[in-house]
Amino acid sequence: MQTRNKLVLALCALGAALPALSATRALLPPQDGDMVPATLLPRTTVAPAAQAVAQPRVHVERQPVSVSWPLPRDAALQARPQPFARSSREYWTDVSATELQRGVELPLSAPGAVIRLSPGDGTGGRLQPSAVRLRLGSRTLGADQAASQLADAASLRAAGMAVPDATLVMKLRPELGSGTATLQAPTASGRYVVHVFEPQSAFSVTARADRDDLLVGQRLHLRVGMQEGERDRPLQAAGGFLRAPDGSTTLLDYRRQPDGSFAAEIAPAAVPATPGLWEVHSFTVGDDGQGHAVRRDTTTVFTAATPDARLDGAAEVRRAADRGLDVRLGVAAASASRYAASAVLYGRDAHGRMVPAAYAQSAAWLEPGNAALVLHYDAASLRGVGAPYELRDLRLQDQPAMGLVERRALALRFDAP
Amino acid sequence: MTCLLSLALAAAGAQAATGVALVHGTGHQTDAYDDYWQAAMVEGIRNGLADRNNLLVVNCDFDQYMWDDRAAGCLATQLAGFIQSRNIDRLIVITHSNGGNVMRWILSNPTWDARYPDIIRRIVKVDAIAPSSAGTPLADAVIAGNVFESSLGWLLGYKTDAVRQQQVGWMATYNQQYLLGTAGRPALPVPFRDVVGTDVASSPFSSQAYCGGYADSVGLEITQNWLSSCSDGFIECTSAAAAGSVWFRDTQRTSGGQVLNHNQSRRACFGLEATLANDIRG
Repeated sequence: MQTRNKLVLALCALGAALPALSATRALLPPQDGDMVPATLLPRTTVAPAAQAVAQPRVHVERQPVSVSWPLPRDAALQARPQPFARSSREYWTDVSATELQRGVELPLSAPGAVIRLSPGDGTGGRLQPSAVRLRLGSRTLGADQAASQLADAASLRAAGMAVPDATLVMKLRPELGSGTATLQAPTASGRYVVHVFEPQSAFSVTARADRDDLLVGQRLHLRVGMQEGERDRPLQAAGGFLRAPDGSTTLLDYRRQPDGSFAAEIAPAAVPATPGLWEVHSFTVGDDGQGHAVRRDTTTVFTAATPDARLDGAAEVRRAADRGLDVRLGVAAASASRYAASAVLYGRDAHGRMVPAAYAQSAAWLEPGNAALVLHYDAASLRGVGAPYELRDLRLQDQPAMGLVERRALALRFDAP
Repeated sequence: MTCLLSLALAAAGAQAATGVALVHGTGHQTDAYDDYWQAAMVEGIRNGLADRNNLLVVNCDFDQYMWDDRAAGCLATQLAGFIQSRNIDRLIVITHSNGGNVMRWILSNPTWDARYPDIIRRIVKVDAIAPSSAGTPLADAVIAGNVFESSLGWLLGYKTDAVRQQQVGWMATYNQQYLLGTAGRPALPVPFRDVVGTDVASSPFSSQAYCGGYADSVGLEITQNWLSSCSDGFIECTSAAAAGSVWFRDTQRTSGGQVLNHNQSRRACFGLEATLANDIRG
C-alpha cells in the first residue's frame, strides 16, 4: 500500500495568533551530558582572504519554515550524539625525493602490508614499479617482485579509490614477513606520500573522544590507546594536531597516562567562518613487544560551534488550531542568523509506556536579542499517545554556521496544555 | 502575515502524476544520462512510468559537501523544477552512492531551504542504491590529512570535499549531528529503502564481471584490503544498510541471483532496471 506522506508544513510568521489554551513553563535543568551555552558570543562571519581550503557555498534561507512528522512508536532513539571511534592499522608519512632516494624506513608489524606511494608531481614524480626497491630482512627486491598485487592510479580509481595521479600501490607477498622495510626509489623527484596499511596486523590504535560536539570554551578529552588483539599495549610516543574547517592547524600536547595510553585536551579557541567538521590527527609509535616499532595514525572528527544563541529556558505549550501541539521556545541570540530548533515529542501509549510520537523542526531568521521558535506537532502524529508528554533530544542549530549551539536530552515534561 | 497550513495531498479529485528522479553519486555531472547511468538503465526504469515524460535525470556538482548549495541546492532546484513542470505529486527518487547522502540531507533538514518541504511531501519513497550512508574506508585511505602539511594543495588534487565527507568518521559525525535515519536517530519523513551490493565478481572468466563495464580486478583486489568481506567493492554492506531500511540485497532480486558491484548497481545489470520499473508501477 502506498505510504502517504504525512509531512505537515506550516509557513507562519512568528507570533501568529492561535487558540489561547496555553501554559508557560520552564525547561528542565540541563542534565549531565547536555550542551548548554554558559555565555553568548557573536559569531565570526567573515572568512580570511587567504586560507587553506576553498569556501563552501551555504544556502541561507530567510523564510520561516516549520515541519513535523510522526515517528514509529517502537523506535529506540538516543537523545544524545554518540562519539565515534575507529581502530587504525595504517600510517602515512610524506617524504622528500632525497629521503626516498636514500631509502625510507617503514616498520611493518605483520606480513602482507599494503604500501601506497603517491607523488606530489604526477608527471615528474611518476615511478615505475621496477624503479622502486624494497629491502626487508636480507632481501632487496623490485616492487614488481616484492608485491603479490600491484595497481596504478587508473586501476584504483576504476575500483573507486580516489588516489592522486601516478599513484602506485603494492601488496607485499606474505612470505616476505614483517620487520623494518626500507623503501627506496633512486629516480624519485619531488615529494611523496607513503601510506602503509597493515590489514593482517594484530596491532591497532584507537583514539576515543568523550564527545563529538562542543562549544567554544568547552573541551574535548581524547584518549589514544594501542591494542594487540583485545589486549591493551602501552604506546611509546604520541603527537598530533587539530585541523579546523578552514584548514588551519594547531599542534596538540599529548600526555602519557598511567595505563600506557596518551591523552590530549582539545579546546578550539575560536570557530572560523568556514563551516564544516573538525579533525584531530594523532600519530603514534608503539612496539610489538619484540623490539620492533609499530606506527599508527588515527583521525577523530567532531563539531564545534560558537555559542551565539541559546534557549532562554522559557517554553509555552499551546493546543494548536489543528488540535496538535505547539511548543514555543524562547531564544536569545547574539548574532543575526537562521536558527533551527528540533525535538522529539514523547507521549504515553495505551500500555502506559513513554514512546516517541513525532519529530518537529522549526527555523527562522533571528536578529540579535530575544525571540522564539515554535515546534508544531500535528494532531495526526499524536494519535494513540497522551499525557504526560516529554520533549527529548531538543537541539538548537545555527544553520548557516553548521553549528549545534545547544542540546538537551530531556528538555520538558508536561501534561495536556 | 497569513499563516499557511498545507496538508498531505488529498486523494479525492486529484489525478496523481507519478514521476521518477535519478540522482547520481560523487562527481560533477553534466550528462549523467550517458556518463553515469547509461541509456539501458534509464530507459529500463522509464518503462515503469505511465507517462514516460515524467523522468528526470539530475545533473549536479556532487564533488561538493552534500550540504553545499552546489549539491543539495542544485538537487532541490532540479527536483522543484521537475515537480512544477510535470505536475508531479507522486515522486520516486532513485539515488546511487553518495547521491543518497545528498537526498538524505534534504530529508533530514527540511527547514534548511523553504523549497524542501514541498519537495519532501511529494516524495513517496527514496530507493537508495548502494548509498554510502556510513562512509567508506577507501575515502579515509586517500585523505592523507594525517601528514602535517595538510594544506598541501597537491594532496587535494584528486580529492574533493565529497570524498572527504565520505570518510567513515565524517559520516558517523554527520549521522549524529545533522542527518536522520540511522540507528538511534529519528526516522526520515519518507521511506528510504536501501539496495545493498554484497560482492564483486572480478574474474575475467566470469561473464558476470562484464556487465556495466569490466570492473578492474587489479584495483579491486587492492581495495578489498580495506573493506569487510561483505562489500560491493567500494562500500561495505553495513554502510549501504545504515540509513532507512534494507529493501533488498542484490542476490535476492537480480536475475540468476547475481551480485552487483558498485559500478554495476547504476547500470542495467541482471534485471536491476526491471526491478526498479516494477516498483514504480507499484
